Amino acid sequence: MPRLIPVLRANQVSFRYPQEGHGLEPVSLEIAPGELTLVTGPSGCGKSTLARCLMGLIPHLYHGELTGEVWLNGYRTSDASMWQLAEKAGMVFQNPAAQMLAPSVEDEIIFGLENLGLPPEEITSRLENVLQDFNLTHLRQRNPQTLSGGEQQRLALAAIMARQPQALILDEPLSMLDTTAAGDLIAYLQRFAAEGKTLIVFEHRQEYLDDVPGLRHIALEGKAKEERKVPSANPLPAQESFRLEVENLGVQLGGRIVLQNLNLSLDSGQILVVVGRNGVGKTTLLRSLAGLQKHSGSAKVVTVRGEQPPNLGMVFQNPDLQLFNASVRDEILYRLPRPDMAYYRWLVAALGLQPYEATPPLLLSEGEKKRLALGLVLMRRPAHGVLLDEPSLGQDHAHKDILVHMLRMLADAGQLVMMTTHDLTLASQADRLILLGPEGLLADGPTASVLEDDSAWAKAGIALPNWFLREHKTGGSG
Amino acid sequence: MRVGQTGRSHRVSLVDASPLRKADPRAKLFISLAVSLVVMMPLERLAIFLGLYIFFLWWARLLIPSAQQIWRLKWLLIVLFAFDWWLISLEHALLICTRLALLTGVFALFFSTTTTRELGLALERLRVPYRYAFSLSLAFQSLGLLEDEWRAIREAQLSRGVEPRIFSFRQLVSQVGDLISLAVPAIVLTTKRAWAITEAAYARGFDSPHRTSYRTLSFSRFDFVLMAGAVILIALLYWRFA
Amino acid sequence: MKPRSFSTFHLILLALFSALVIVAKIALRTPLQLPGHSGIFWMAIIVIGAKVVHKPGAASIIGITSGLLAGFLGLGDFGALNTFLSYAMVGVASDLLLWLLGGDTEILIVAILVGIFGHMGKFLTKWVFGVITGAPLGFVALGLLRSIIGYIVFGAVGGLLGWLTLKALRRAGFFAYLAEKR
Repeated sequence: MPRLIPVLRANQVSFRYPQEGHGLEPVSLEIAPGELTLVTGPSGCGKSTLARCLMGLIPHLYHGELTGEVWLNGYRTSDASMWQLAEKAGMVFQNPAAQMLAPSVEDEIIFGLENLGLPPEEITSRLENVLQDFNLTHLRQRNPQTLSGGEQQRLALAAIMARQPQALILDEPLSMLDTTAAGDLIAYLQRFAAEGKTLIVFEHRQEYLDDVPGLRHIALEGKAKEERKVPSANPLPAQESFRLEVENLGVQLGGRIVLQNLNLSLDSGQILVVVGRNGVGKTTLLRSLAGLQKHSGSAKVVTVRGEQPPNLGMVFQNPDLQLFNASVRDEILYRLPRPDMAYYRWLVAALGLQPYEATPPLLLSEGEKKRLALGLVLMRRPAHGVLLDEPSLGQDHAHKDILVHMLRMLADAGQLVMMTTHDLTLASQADRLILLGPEGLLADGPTASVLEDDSAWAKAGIALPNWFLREHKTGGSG
Repeated sequence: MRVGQTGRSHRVSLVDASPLRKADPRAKLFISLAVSLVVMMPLERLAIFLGLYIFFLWWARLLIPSAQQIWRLKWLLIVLFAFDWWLISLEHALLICTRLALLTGVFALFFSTTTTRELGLALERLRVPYRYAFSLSLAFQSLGLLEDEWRAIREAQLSRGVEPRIFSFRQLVSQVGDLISLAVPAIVLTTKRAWAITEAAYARGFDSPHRTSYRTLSFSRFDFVLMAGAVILIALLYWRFA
Repeated sequence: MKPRSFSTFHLILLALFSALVIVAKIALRTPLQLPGHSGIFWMAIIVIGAKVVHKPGAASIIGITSGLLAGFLGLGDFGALNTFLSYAMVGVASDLLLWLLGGDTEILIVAILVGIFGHMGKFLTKWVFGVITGAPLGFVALGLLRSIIGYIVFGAVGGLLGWLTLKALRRAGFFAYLAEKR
């Protein structure tokens, strides 16, 4: 095959942000038209920075020191205007909700077409085509902020593809999506690749792309932050066992029934995972157990000595909601009258936060922030355990390992650990799996046996992907 | 006072049946401003104007929303009326209350018949740079989202035992420090959102000098009639009866 | 290309801060009915906005944008015109004082003065509105002094909160995050 002129060419490109810390070590790469490229690398290696260099957002929107050069379709990114580069390449970002900028689905697509300077007739025809292609026609008048994450990511892709760029750069497009939505998005990407578009996907959930034919894989090394060895000794005092009894739990939000007649009997000393598609009430269940949500029915802790209301700490999905202190240490110890400093030191080490005790929380990586949010809940020693909402969303394996290790120690000490997740790999490490569907409880039992229950997964609307079945299912049709 | 409990913001309800829905926002803005100048007229002329204006509101199906707006002021108007009558004269009391009621209601005709998207387009046509009009419409869309975020921040802090409260006027200053537990996350989240939108906008060619407008506004005969009507009426009231 | 006074990021940021003003205002409904209590978060956001987007006119943009938002939401008891003007005046008055004082709200006294002065801008608008309609007699009878004190105190507290928040943001590494964005 004759060598094609590359669409994208990076020549020893590196970048340093004005503040110390992250950046990108020199990288060279060439991407030919029609290629589907996957770029992987550990968190902190500069994937996101490289994506922005290729798109030209660096140096146009960022201060810092750029060396080397990037050529995008004949333009050197540092010389061309941002809008010229945006006509050649499009970019889809990690957080589906944060890139929505118009009042309706239609306007979201029109925005990019107006910027191309197209006449109204052309805009109309491209709009209709793209709405149809991406199965968005029935949503056209909806406010993008009310769509699910999967629909939003599809819309983001549609808004870019309507502009008909030659190359498409995707910065961790799957990390906030559930399994089914991630599978859908991959199907679209494969279609574009088949049509001869150039695609570059920066993603650490590479297992989703394993089956894509003709995939080129680039692994970035960079200087990943070294994760400290986690202490193995478990100083948590063993707790007497209890059961959390949930009876007829029901929640209505704005007239809509989110949960109804939910009955669960949960033993302490276990890691429980709640799985289900968006909107089935996973987070609402956690909020109810944490006492943050008004509900009907009851939830109580039963021990040999009697009953009491549950005291469970809640760890929220977005750590930025809580962090406001000057250092990790201040954040964890905020307003604690007589903190147990021995416990504090163990906690910080076990969460892999020891090197950052004096670091301002906002400068931590997302994974570190998530562990800090867990730490400040654990420091308050909730009597019965913790509830975690999507603790691994958008995180890499190093974070998940520390997290699971910590949760296992809590469970071993007799606490109840309950989390929601879209991440099937994480879910498969739990002791018990609760599968929720729109109509309520679909399956509840030991993780391995629920994973075998094909009809329950079908009812939940979750297609277990092939890579997952290969790893986790022994028998069955797969 | 508990800090951070939220009500829900609601848009002024759009009166879809109003013929003014079809008018250009610029014309409506013009009329609203013109009417707010009229309120300085003496009582007799104001009374004539009021009669015509009520008829206009009835035609535009806006009588009820305007009345609702004024109804919220009922106690103030009653007290004001009583005081002015008692201290000055009945005529003065009538004049003041009519002015206040008119001024209170007048922009309802703009805000209850215009969508934020139309306002954005109108601003663009009035030579406000697109970037400003775009940010304005973004501010509108973000209200619901920021409210949810605000509630989530409060809840997240509550769940770790941080509950900022201001119990009384006297403790105000001493407890203000606690409010940063809400203010810092709110500012950080808002800034991150602003940055994400900036990147997304530039990745779709936001800085292009060739931008076209898909949705357009155009002045129709209807708009000219409305504006001319307002001008002639006001001019007549000022000179004919001078 | 001519350098722009506000970058797109700044404009978007100011727009979202304006929305935050409205959200905080609605969030702060209280049974106490102290005049001007909503000034706490309001003035805090103006003080923060004026530092984060360190350019003359930033406070005015927050004021005008939040005024338009408030108009569409039907906030305020005296109609949209009055609401819009008083919101806009908060921003303009704050900018005026910032211009006189050198513009750095990370200085405590500047933050508090901006809080008071900006908030008084709103009060004055309401007052002038009263004078024009000929209504101030009623207002005087209804406790002008109490209102003035309320506006000054809550404006000052808002300035203080803004300053404390800026200090916390600086320590938390927020300005380092901001420094890499154009």
